This record gives sequence, C-alpha cells and structure tokens, in this order.
Amino acid sequence: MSIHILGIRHHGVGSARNVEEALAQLQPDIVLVEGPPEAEGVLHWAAHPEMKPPVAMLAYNVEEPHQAVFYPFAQFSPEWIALNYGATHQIPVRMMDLPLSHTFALEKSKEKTTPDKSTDKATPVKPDDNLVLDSPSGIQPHPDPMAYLARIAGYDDSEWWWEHHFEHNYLKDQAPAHFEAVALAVEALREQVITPTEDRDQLREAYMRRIIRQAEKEGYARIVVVCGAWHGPALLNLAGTVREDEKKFKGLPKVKVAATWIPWTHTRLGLFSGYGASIVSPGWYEHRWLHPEDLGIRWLTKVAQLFRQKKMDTSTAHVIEAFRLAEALAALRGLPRPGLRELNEATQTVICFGDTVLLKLVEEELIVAHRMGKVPRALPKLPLQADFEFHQKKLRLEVGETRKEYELDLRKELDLSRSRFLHRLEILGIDWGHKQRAAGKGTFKEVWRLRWEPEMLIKLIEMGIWGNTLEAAGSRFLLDQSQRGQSITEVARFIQQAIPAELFAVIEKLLGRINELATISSDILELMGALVPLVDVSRYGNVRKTDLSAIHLLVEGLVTRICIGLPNACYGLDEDNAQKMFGHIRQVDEAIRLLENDLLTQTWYQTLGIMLDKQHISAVITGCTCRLLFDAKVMETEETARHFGLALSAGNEPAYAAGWLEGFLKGSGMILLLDHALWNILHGWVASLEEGHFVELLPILRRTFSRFDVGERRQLGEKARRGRVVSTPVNRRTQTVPDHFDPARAERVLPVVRQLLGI
Amino acid sequence: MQSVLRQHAEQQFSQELEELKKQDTHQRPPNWHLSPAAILTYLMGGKLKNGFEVTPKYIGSRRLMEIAVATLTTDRALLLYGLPGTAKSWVSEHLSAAISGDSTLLIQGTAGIGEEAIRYGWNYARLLAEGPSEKALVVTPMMTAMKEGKIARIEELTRISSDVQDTLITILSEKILPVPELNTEVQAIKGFNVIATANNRDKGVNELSGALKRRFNTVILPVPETMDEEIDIVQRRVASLAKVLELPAQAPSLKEIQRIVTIFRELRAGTTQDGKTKIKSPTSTMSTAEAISVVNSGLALAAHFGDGVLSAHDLAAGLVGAVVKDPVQDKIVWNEYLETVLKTREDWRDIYRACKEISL
Repeated sequence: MSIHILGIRHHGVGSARNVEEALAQLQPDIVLVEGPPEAEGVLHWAAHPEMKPPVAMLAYNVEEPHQAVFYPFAQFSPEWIALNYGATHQIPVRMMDLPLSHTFALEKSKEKTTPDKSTDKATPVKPDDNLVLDSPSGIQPHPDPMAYLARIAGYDDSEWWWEHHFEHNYLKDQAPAHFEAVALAVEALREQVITPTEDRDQLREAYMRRIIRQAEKEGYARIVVVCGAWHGPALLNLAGTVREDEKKFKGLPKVKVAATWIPWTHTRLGLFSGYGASIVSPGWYEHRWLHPEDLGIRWLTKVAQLFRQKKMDTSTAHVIEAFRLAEALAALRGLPRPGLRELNEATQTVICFGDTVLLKLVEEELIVAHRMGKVPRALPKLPLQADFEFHQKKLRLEVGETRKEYELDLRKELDLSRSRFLHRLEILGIDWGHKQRAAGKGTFKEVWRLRWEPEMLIKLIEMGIWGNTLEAAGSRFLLDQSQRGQSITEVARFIQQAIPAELFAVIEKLLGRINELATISSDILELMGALVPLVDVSRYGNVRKTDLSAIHLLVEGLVTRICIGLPNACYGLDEDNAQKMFGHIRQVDEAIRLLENDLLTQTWYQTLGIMLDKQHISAVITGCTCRLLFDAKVMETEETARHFGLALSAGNEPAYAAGWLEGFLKGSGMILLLDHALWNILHGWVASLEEGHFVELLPILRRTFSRFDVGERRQLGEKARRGRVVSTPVNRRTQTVPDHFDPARAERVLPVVRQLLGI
Repeated sequence: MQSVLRQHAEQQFSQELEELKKQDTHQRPPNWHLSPAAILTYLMGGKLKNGFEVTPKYIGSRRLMEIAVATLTTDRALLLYGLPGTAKSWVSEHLSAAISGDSTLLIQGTAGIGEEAIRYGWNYARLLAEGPSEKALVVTPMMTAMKEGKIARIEELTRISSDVQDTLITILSEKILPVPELNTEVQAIKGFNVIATANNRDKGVNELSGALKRRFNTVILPVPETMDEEIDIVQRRVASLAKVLELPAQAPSLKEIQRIVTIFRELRAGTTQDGKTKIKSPTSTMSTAEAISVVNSGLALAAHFGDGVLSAHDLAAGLVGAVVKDPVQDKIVWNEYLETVLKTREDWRDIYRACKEISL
C-alpha cells in the first residue's frame, strides 16, 4: 500500500502536467482530490463529452442558496486532470476536505456572533480552494508564506517565483522529483517560518487525514492525493493523529448542502473579477497548456494576428524582432525561457512603439481571453433553472461573457417574448440584461445589453424557492415584496415592472395592495409619486395587447384622492417642502394630461382653482397653479393678468411676489415675450421696487430667470430695454391692407384653395 | 582634467566602469566593454562582490533599463522616447559609455542639419584639389561608430527633418553606409548600434516615418512615479552638479528639495498632492530636469549673492522662470496656484512671499 501526495498550485499549468504524468506512472486505484465531499454525487459529470471547461463546481446551502462556494476548473487545472483521470480509468475519485455542511454552519454561527459581518453577506462566500495556496481559507491569517521563499531567491513577487520554479520549468519525466521538491519547500516553510495555520485549516487538514485513513481502511493499495501544496506535509502523519482528529469533529454544526456544475468564465478565473482570486492570465496559461513546446513565437504570432484584426499593420518581421527581444530579456534576467512578462514587454517595445495602450488589447483578448465553459444539458437542474434554460434557448438569447446588444421590436412575437423573459429575470434580481435607452423609435422598441455572469446562476437557484417557472417565481416574489412594502410608490414601481413582464395575475393583487395602502395613507406626496408610474403603465396597454382597465380604475381613484387632499397638503409648507410639492404638482399635471380623461382633468383643474384662492399656500405653488390653469386654457388671459397683478402688487411682501413669479415662470419665459399685458405688469412691478428690496430679491429672480434658455433671455433683455409695450398689433395689421383691395374678388379663390387643401 | 566643465560619462565614472569590468564574469556581446548584466548594475547601481559601491545612474523602473539593454544586444536600434526632462539623454549617454566605453559619438539633431551630418561630408578644398578620395571625406560620428563597432547616439531625433531622418533607414536595416562617389561602402562592425532620443511634447517636432519607426525598439521613459523617487533624483543630480561647479554653498536641505518637487509634481499632475484640489497645468513641461536646474540656480544665487544657504528667495526666481513660459496663460496658472495652494500652507509662507515679490 502506498500513499502519494501531489502538492499542486490550483490552476498551475506545470502542476497539471506533472499530475498527469504522475498519475500515468503511479496507476492509482483511488484518487483523492481537495474539494467538498458533497460534490461527489456530481463528479462523474466531469468526463461527460459535453462538459467544456472553464466550469465550476457550485456548492450551496440548500436553505439559503446565497451561501455558496465555487470551485472553478480550467482545462489546465491539476484537479481537473485528476477528476478526468478517475473517470476515464474507471477508478473512484473522492473529494477530501472539510464538508461544506460544516463550513457553512460554522460560518453562520460566526456571523451571528460578529454582527458587523452581515454587511458583506450578500456577496457569495469566498471559495475555499480555488485560491492559491497562500490563502487557504479565504481570509489571510499570515502574509503570503511563499513570499518568504521568493524573497530569499531574490524575487519581488511570490507568484513569479513559484511560476518560474514549479510551473514553467516543466521537465518531462521528472514528476516524482517535482513533487518531492514542492513538499520539501512547503515543509520547511511550515516548520520554520510560519506558525501553524489557524483553527479552520487545522480542522480541514484533520478531515483530509480522516478521508485518507478511510481509503486505506477500505483496502485501496495505491492512493494518490491531489491537494494544494500547502496542505501536503500535514497529511503525512496519519497514524499519530487519529484520536486528536476525531475529537475535533465532535459536535460540529451541520447544514444541508447541494452541488452542481455551472459554466464558468476566464474572466472569473482572473483577478480582475474581484473575488475568487486565482490567476491573472488564464489565456496565457491555456496557451502554455495547449502548446507546451512554444517558446513565444506562437504567442507573438497570435498577438500579431490580433493586431491585424484590429487593422494595425503588424508584420512577420515584427514578430521576429519581438521574439528576439523577449529572448534577450530572458537571457538578461537569467530565465530559461521568455515568460509572459518578457513577451509583453517585447510586444510593447517592438510592436506597440513603447505604448502601453495597445497592450491593454492583448491583455483583454489574449491574456484573459474571454471564454465561457459549457456543462452537459442532461445535468440535473433545479426546475427554475431548467425553465430558464428552456426559454433562453427557445428565445435564442446567447449566454456569453462578452456584451451583446439586442434591439427588440415589440410588434414581433419573438422579440416580445424576449422582452417579457428579460423583464421577468429583472424582477428576480438577475441582471443579465440591462435595458438601454432606445433612440426615439416609439414605445415598441427596446434595446437590451446582455452580459452573463456566472453568479446569476446562484441568484437563479436562490430564487428557486419562489416557484418552478420564471412566471410563477416572479409573481410570488413580487407579491411577497409588495406585502412587505409599506410605500405606495414602491408598489407602483412593482406594477411598472410586472406589466412588461406580463405577470398579470400579480398586477391585480398589486393594485389591490395599492388601494389598500392608499386608503390608509395620509401622505399625499406618496400618492402623487405613485400616480406617475401608474399612468406610465396604463399607456403600455397598446403595445402589450393587454387589458388594463383595472389600472384605469385605480388611477381614477388615486386622482380623486389627490384632488381632495392636495389643497390641505399645501398649507403652511416651508421653502424646501414647497419646492418638492411644486415638482409633484407639475408631474401630476403632466400625468393627467397624458391620461386624456375629461372628467379627471376637470376635477384636477377645479382643485387647482380652489388652491389659487386660498391663503397661506406657498407662493411658489400658487404661482404654479396659476400657470397650469393658464396653460390648460381653463383661465382666461385677463383673469391670469389679474392674478399676476395681484401677486405682484405693492401690498404683498416682495419675497412673496418673487416666489410667485418663480412658480409661474419655471421652465420658460416665452409667455412674457408673447403676452404684453403680463409683461407690462411685471415691468411695472420691477420698476416699483425700492433699491433695498430689489437687491434682496435678486437671488430669487436670478434663480428663476437663469433657467430660461439663452435665446429667451436675450429676447427678454431686448424687450426690457424697450420698456412698456403700448402697441396695439391688431390695428396695425388692418392697416397693411391696401385701399384697392377687393374682398369679393379675393373670396372667389377660396373654393379652389379649399379643394387643394382638402378641407 | 578637473578643469573641464562637464566630463563625459566614461571619464566621470571611469572607476566604476573599471571595477565592473574586473568583476564581470558574464558573457559579453562582441565589442562590448561590459556584459549586459554588468551594464544594468552600472545603470541601476548596486554593490559589487568586492564591496565596491556603484552609484545608480537611472532612478526608476529596472525593467525599462532591462528592455533597453536587451534591445541593444539584438542589433535593433533603441529609441528613448518621452517627455522632456525624463533622463533620455542621460540614459543614452551612460548606455553608450558602458557598452562602448565612448559616449562621444554624438549627432545632435536640429532642424538645420542635413544628410551630411549623419552620413558623411566633404572637405571641399581637398575635394577640389584632389578629386574624390577617402582623404577628402569628412567622417561623421555615425561612420566612426560603424567602423569601430561602437554605439552612435542621435539626440532629438524628431527635430531632424523627415527626409534627413530617413537616411538612417539603410544604416539601421542593412548596417552599411554606401559612399557612391568612391564606389565603396562602410560596413558596420559588430557592436555597432544606434541610440536615439526623441520627445513627444515639444513644438516643432517631425514625426518619425513608419519605415524608420519599425527599425527602432521604443522605450518610453516615464516621469518619476513617486515623490520619493523624484526627490532622490533631484538630490543626487544637484549634489553632483554642485561638486562639478564648485559652488561654495551648502547642500540644499531635504525640505527645500521636497517643496520644489512638490510644486513641480502638483503643477504637472494638475492636482495637489493630497488629491483634494484641482489646479491648472502650465504649458511648460515641469520636468524633473527643470526642477534640478531650479535648485541649481538657487544654489548659485545663494552662493554668490546670499549667505550660502539655499533660501526661498534663491529658489523663487528660478521657479517662476520654470513655470511661466507663456507670459499670458502661464502667469494666470501660476498666480492661481500661488493664491489657492501655496498661500494656504502654513510653513510655506516664505516661499509664497518670495514668489509673490517676483511675480508682481
């Protein structure tokens, strides 16, 4: 019986090659791989022909799916090699690590004791073992231990050191020596430099030992263990630690854990993605894996091809010169062969003329190399996930890592379904699609920008508790949210979301909820805020072929409530609140005009009329109502002029007058240009102000007038220079008619003109 | 030799080069005086095995210097590119001193030079008297470098007019210099290479043609990354220049250098060091080289007209001159900077007042 421990670096190309070689040499009858034992049920999928790395093993807490861990694998991951070896040689593969059921439970209990940890609860838990060996538990208890060795060897970066010594220097048929060297290095580190690792790690290593012992007991003769190099030395002493280890497992808390495979992306393997720190250059690693013999020429040729695709002249001579420089650099640095650093520098110096900007392109396209894995279709899935995939395929929406834009024409059946699908996902918090502003093409156009991220699958699994189809889950989720929400505006927003998602069953209930809230709500601003989205929604009816009479009813109810409550709500507001109310009144007015419901419009203007005559309503609001009534032609010009004069008359505080003016004129001063009567009143008022008052009012007046556009302001200025306007334009026009004009002859033309115009 | 105003790099640092040569065990490219590794040590500084200390010549990224040296080992020409005052010529001089032991094969690029400055010229008296012959030929540094297998330097390559620039193409790609009048050619000996410098900020530059650009490996020298790096550069250069010029002044205090570097960095970056205030940048380049000369002229003032200690007053004159290159725009920028940034700094009062006096 023999136990072989292969200490690796996760995603290390050299490690992978050595593992491959060692496995072929050792011919094990069982392979133990570092990873969660819960995943054993899905391990056999690794060898499925449809499985295309990068993929990740996803393990999650069944009760709270957001507590999840990924174990990503690229095709050059040593663990992936081990899994595949097991599957192709028909020998058992087991995962050996502390079961996640314990890990999750421990984390949860820790969370409870340290309350401030809850802030980052939303982000998925850091994966344990896709990390480089330097951070075995996500949290780094000690600074990178490898850095210690790297420093001794004169490297400033431990990654580079490891890479040069253990990954890039792969020598054929040297696997045993390689693993021996790794084990020695780590052992020395663990013994002398770094104090034994923290509790969690000890627990994990104890569990690893337990699984090895178990395999031994079952009579396997050649056991191969593939684990992070850091753990290697801890797994040697099996016999002496039995009792101690078993003590540790007593009374460990437990939760239920499930595992599955999900597609992963290269970007996620990289550091840029913010978590799951592992490797920065998956594309380069993949290249090294696929072309181990390449010293850099093939890579540089790829770079050159990329530049050519982007319409940049890059010749073969460039490649040759770049390669020569890379080699010279490697020689200068005492490296056996150019690494990525040398190749990049050569590319920058020779091909990019020293510029770093173009190198970004190489980084994105080649060094990270956008790639997305695939998992077998037959993989057992949660019903919601299956429903998602069914629709996604049916609607021909591509799940890809790169951004893609779809322009949907909602008059087409397919596009409408797509839009519905994306809206449903949005409700569930899966932000795969981001709706873009469609440029002025009417309401039947929607532009979506799609970018898939693997975390969205977790969200999907998490949302699985709400229902088995997107429709059901979306409906229930919205309902639940609305039951919790106390604000009408919020519920109104849900309705706004539910309509394009066509969750009609919910809409009715949401409307009921709004009604409920509206009845008990005394906050008129709330109601006003809710009205705007609802009116927007009621316009959707045409495009979406849906019956929205319920909404109309609700809107009517809301308007009525607003009309009753508004005058009172406007009493005695301070400056800030008056401004807020002012904004709301204008929005509601706009919404009501959109509705084109005569009865409601009438009620609304009546209410405004009432407010106009009330005392103690803020001047801004009175001015605003006056203007709205004037614009709607409910109030005649003379009447408006009267109010205008009243507001600006000498009896009022100048501040009141200025406020009123602001309310009346907000937005546009065109009215002053066209209406001479109002102009004259304003002109007179300004002229009558005493100097002190005038200076006092300047800021308010400036606030009002500075918002007009430049042309208006100029015209106003010119008009002001001319002073009062006394001309009577009507008379002048009659005078332009010459004396010899014969009306009878002129009228004879009219029938023909009518015919031409089709009147 | 001490009376020379400015010594060549290979003279000034002859001892260092000598020691490096003794200790050098790596392989040398043909006709190189030192191995690439030793050249790096010469540039970046370090301690030799026998304890001899080599001073750093270039303060900044080691990797850039590695690229530069590696380029020269591949027979590709090196183009040092960057803003004015980023030590391009300095690096070029030291590189050629270390590689060929000779930094004097220099062609200064100006708008006025013609082909004969790069290829060869004629001694017309002789040409008329004796007809075309080797003796009538006026040899250029470029030709010498080719014949002797040394490094030729071209300063300010982009100031040379485009058609003259292009005469370099044959030299760089074929490594020959034809002399059709004598029906002969000069073939470059191993060890020959060209280091050119060019800057991308100055007015009146001629862009390199694509053909020429392809024959160079380009290394862009950046402005110093950190404050400490820049202070280090200024301090070292000021100290060595003061020694050469024999200024009877005390070495400037670290505080003064810090302030000058801060002012330069802030104006260059357009924000204050704490990143809180945005300021305008002047049209001048605000390079490290200028910072060095501000401190130097300040030292000279202090030595000859002051009490020998560098004070804010001594610095102010040079400072204003360095910042205000355009009398209208830069003046506004500078005054704004004075009033909004310098004035608010408690212990910068002296420099504020000194600048204010001059600016008025």
